[in-house]
Amino acid sequence: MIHVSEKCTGCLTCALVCSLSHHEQCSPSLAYVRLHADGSRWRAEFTPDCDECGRCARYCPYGALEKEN
Amino acid sequence: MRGGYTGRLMVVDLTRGEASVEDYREDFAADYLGGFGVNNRLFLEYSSPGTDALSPQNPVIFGAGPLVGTLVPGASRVMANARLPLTGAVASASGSMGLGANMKWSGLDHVVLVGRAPAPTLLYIEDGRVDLLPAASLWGTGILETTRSLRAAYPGASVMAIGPAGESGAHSSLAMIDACATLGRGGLAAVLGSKNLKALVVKGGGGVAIADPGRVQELVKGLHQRLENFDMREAAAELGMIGAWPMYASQLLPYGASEEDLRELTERFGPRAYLELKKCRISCPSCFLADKDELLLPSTGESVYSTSFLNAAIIGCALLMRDAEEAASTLALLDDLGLDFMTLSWQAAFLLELREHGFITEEDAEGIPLARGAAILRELALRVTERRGEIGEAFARGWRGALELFGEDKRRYTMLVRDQDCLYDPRVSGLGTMEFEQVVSPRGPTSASAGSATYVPGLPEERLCRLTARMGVGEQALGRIFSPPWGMNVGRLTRYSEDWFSLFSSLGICNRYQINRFYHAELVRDLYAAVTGVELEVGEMMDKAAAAWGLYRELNAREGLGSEADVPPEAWFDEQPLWGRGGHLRDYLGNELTREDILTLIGDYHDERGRKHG
Repeated sequence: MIHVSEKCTGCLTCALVCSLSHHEQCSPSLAYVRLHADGSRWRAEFTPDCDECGRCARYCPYGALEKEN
Repeated sequence: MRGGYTGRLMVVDLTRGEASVEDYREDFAADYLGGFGVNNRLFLEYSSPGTDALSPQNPVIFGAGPLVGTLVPGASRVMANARLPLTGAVASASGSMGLGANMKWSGLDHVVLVGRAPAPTLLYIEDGRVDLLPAASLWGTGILETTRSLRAAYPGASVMAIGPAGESGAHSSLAMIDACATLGRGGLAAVLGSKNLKALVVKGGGGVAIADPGRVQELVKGLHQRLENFDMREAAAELGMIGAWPMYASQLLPYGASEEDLRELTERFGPRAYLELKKCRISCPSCFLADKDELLLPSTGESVYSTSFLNAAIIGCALLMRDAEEAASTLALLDDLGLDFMTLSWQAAFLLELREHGFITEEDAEGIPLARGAAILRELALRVTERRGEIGEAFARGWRGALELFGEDKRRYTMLVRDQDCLYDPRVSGLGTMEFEQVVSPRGPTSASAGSATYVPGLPEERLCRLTARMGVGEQALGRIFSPPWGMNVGRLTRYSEDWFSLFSSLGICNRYQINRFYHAELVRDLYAAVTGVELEVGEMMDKAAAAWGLYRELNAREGLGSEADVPPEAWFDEQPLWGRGGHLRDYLGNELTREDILTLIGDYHDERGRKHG
């Protein structure tokens, strides 16, 4: 997965849809994508459990995540 | 309780330094949905009528509805109930950013604060556990620095802080969440300051259970697709609220302004000016149209947050500031002190009106510069915060203090309802629901509580009717609203606009036009069912929203602020310019309105409120 930090606004939609689809609850702590504040930008980190299902990219309203081909 | 709700609230007794977590009654959520509605019900439980706003006995109740902390777009609202000092009203203030979501992820729907801490205190909540920590070192510190230092100490947490204006008890103070969302115009920060509470920091590591995860994803996907087809999507993503500049510009212009004036103000405060300062956009959790900003001020290299650049444009246009940077830095100063920029701007304008009409001179102003520009606002903000001088002390006590100093007969030189300044002048924008509701709102004029299709200027009656139906308004009510003699009865429509706000705020969805335009009553019903597992008919759901609003009115009626306080400001009927504006009072569709008409519309509003949805 590729994270374009310039487009990211920190809305956490990626983490919310990830935890919802994998754990049936909305919880950034359970998500396989984690956003960290880095100055004025957000940095995304993907945990080893991420299966690259691509939901985070499909739901991101800002186009800040892309699935690698 | 099933999905969405945690079913728990935390009660913090600041006097004793104790906290407990308990289950709250399920019928509260069943009757009033959550957030705003349950806050009102809890306020009834925890407060006594007649309690002074700054007394330890005045509770502050935070609430996050069942959709907050979930994937539902824009579901990040947190509500805060308290009796506020500016008006004495019981207000349910609405804020955003990460506070509500972190409360939910921490396992709490509501937090109730009672008592008064013996010394400046920081309240830290993490996953339902609580710490009351000394905050003497932060007392006197601006909101920006307070937030930055607390975020560094508690990474990932949301920070609600008060500034020096709240500490000194200014009635125009408010709190800020994560340094870029306001909470509680009318003195919520003064209430928190009186409790010696500098900041509330919440960090949630848990989650919100969802009754039907697949259905939620499907419904949210549909909303995202609607967003993709939105013709202003690109402008909104790039520019936030200032992307709709042409819609706002005409309302920001002084009365009688020319096309040339419009071009000039657009150059100073419009989209291009914004882009020169924009560093990045900031979103509330789950929001698909970010509206907060981090701005870079080129002349100092300073980085500041903004609730929305539109607010900088508003004060910039109103006080004819030099440029966008001056407006943005002035707004940042007020935010940092924790002052409501709208009340302070109106107070500055009031001084200018008094000078223009020969009631005061530069000498009487104790050195406050009596000229349009940033200086008057900055100076007034500092004096109110420090309660310095006769004017600073009087204005820190709000409009009552200002009118005590200059005389009740000067009320005509501002625009007040329930001793709170109006945000919208219907002589400029026409009497839509937001303008009218300023008169009937239990807490006095606010920016949020009566949004409807009349927010957008110039819509034809047929379109207004269609958009109103989307708000869950039944056929019979539509017949009463869209009827002779005006074509649209704004009094009757306002009742349903308030109920729409009540629904959104009870569930936790942002009621900004840019967000709620994507929603309709059936979709809200379906999302509520998918998250919570509770199936409701639209009419049933809207009746609960109306009950929550009814309770809000009742809480204020017992404070002596019932329908007798629904009095329109005199300036509405006066064609003389006020703050550069004036003209005939007209409704949204352009019909001229008299004082009698307004009284009729207030009566119609109350008549409509007495009815069930349908």
